[in-house]
Amino acid sequence: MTSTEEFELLFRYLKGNHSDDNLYARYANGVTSLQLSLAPKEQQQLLWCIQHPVWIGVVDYGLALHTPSSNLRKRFALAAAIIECQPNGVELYLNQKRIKSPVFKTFIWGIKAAMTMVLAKMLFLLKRWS
Amino acid sequence: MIDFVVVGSGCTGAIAAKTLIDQGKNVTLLDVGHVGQSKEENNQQSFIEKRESDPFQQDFFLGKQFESLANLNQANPSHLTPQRTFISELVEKYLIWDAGDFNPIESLAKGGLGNAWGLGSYIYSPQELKKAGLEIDTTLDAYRWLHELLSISGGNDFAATYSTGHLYEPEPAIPLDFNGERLWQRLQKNQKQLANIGFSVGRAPLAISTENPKNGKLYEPSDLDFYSTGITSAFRPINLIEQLEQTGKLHYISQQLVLRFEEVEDRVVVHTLNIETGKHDQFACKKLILAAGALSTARIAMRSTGVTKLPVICNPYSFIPSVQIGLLGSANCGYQTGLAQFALYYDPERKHEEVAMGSLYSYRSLMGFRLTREFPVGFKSGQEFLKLLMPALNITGVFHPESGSETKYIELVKDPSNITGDALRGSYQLTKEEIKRIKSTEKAFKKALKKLGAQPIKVKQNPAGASIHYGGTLPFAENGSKASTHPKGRLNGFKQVFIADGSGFQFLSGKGLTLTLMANAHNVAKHAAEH
Ligand SMILES: Cc1cc2nc3c(=O)[nH]c(=O)nc-3n(C[C@H](O)[C@H](O)[C@H](O)COP(=O)(O)OP(=O)(O)OC[C@H]3O[C@@H](n4cnc5c(N)ncnc54)[C@H](O)[C@@H]3O)c2cc1C
Repeated sequence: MTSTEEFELLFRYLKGNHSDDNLYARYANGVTSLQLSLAPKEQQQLLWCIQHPVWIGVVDYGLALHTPSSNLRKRFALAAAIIECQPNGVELYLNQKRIKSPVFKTFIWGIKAAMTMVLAKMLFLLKRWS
Repeated sequence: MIDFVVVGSGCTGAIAAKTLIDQGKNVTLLDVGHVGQSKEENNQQSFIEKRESDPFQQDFFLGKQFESLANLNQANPSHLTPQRTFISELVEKYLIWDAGDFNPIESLAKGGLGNAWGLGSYIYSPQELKKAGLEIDTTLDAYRWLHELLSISGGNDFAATYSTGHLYEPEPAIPLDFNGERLWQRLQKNQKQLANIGFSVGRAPLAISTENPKNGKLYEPSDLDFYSTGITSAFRPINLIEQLEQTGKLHYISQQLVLRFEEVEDRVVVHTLNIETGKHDQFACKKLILAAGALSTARIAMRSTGVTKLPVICNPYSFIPSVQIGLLGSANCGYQTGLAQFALYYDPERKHEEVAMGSLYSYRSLMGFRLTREFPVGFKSGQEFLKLLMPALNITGVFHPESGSETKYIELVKDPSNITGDALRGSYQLTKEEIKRIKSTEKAFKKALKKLGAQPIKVKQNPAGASIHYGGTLPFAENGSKASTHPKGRLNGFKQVFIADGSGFQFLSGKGLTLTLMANAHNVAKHAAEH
């Protein structure tokens, strides 16, 4: 079962703004047709994200590191795929103008990614999710 | 009684049928021949236009029921875009695999795997042909014949000795995209340095018309190739089958799952299951040519001979994403093709015997969520990274040369719960030496990519079976047992049964096998016609 909270959470996280019902229906349809039911541990992880939405990015990293083929990670992938396939989702992935100082930005991105990985490791260890 | 029955309408079956018809024979082609529901669109838009304007693009890129996400955990999931998923439909029901560590992709579609093949058309060197167990002169002749039939473009450059072997003059290569242009400039500069580390690099030869429209139209640059099975300038066996049907010499019968055959006096009886009616049928013919793909043919042969265990070979496959730093963060515009742009041949000893080959792509149309899933990062962070990365990204799929070993085999096991009463179990373990060689080849490819100006990010080894290049199930042998093929294509122990797919190949070069499969199918059919 997917809840509106879950959907809101994922879409806010990935797209940064409130989503519409049409997308919710697509997401729910995807979860059903791909049979992405969650194991108890994944339910805990999701619930924790709903309660602590600022941490969702860290949990996302934790899933990528610890359980890359879990159904919860696949739900994240599904939400990302649906958003990517919106005309206004293009800008999230493909830039129309050259980005300035790309090497520097990649470097900063790398540092942020490494730090989030460390945080995710610690969180999963603390919560005994690893 | 039918003169010739061919089983399978993939690349090898289509070529076998064409050859027989050219020899004046009438052919009945038995095939499951699934066509699925057409999801092709008459799409005139470019990738970017579609992404920016089409509110229903999800159906196109993901599938109405998210078909292209259903197989996220399969080996090589990204190939099966919604337009291509029909290729592997019905396989789970009729070509059943028991648990095992070999995960192949098979097809029961009209046109087989050839509906999706990447069109890379490489020749084997005489040394490689010998290792595979194929006759050299007749195969080289067949390559020339195939070039006339298919129109192969690209490859007449620095690496011509590996790509076309100077056997024929290919048509001009498809245009390079902006990503490929930069690599080409580096290649021209660093060609010698690449040669010093064992590489020859050139444009990938593709079965696509750019000059002489033999298969329909000329190639028109499109960056949605990857989402289509219908590029009319490309060689697709389904088109050839349909052309042959129109001559009236090919009688195409679909919905027939061939189970086994037996030789009764001077005829062959083919036993099938009609998957539409659920009834068992029989077809008697003078000669039978099996071209159902090396794995499916093995199933049919095992049921017919009682042999339950056969060897299998399949190129190990790694892929290496790499980045051209200078293109990081560039604007995403213009044409960017989903077809292979370069082929990198690695042959450090220059013996043309054990060549590993990389096909280099610049996959913009591979959606971002798929790429993010490949890395240990979160999806939001992946978005930020992809914006920088996408225009600079290349993916090189590396195929390693492959010979058989005792640890690579398939077994037919009884399983009454399946419609066919059996299942295949595959076991595929690389030896320590093979693993060592693969690792050192991957290192060499990383070096070569750097010389081309593309920094490798990581190396991913794909699960066994992911290369979609299969062979060696009924290996060539002059006077072998019933589980082997005579070098001219006859199944040993039978008088009128021939094998036209890759089942006989004892070796697979890293260079794509399909052109050689088709060359062999041509020769086998010719021999069967004269036999
Ligand atoms: C995405 C993708 C990209 C590829 N790219 C390349 C490339 O660039 N270069 C390259 O060299 N190779 C490539 N390949 C591999 C290439 O497609 C195959 O090597 C080739 O198509 C095999 O042809 P085949 O005729 O042997 O078998 P298949 O294509 O498997 O055809 C088998 C046929 O037999 C029929 N059949 C099977 N079993 C039965 C049965 N029991 N009864 C009746 N009919 C049956 C099926 O319906 C089908 O028509 C690629 C493959 C894929 C999927």
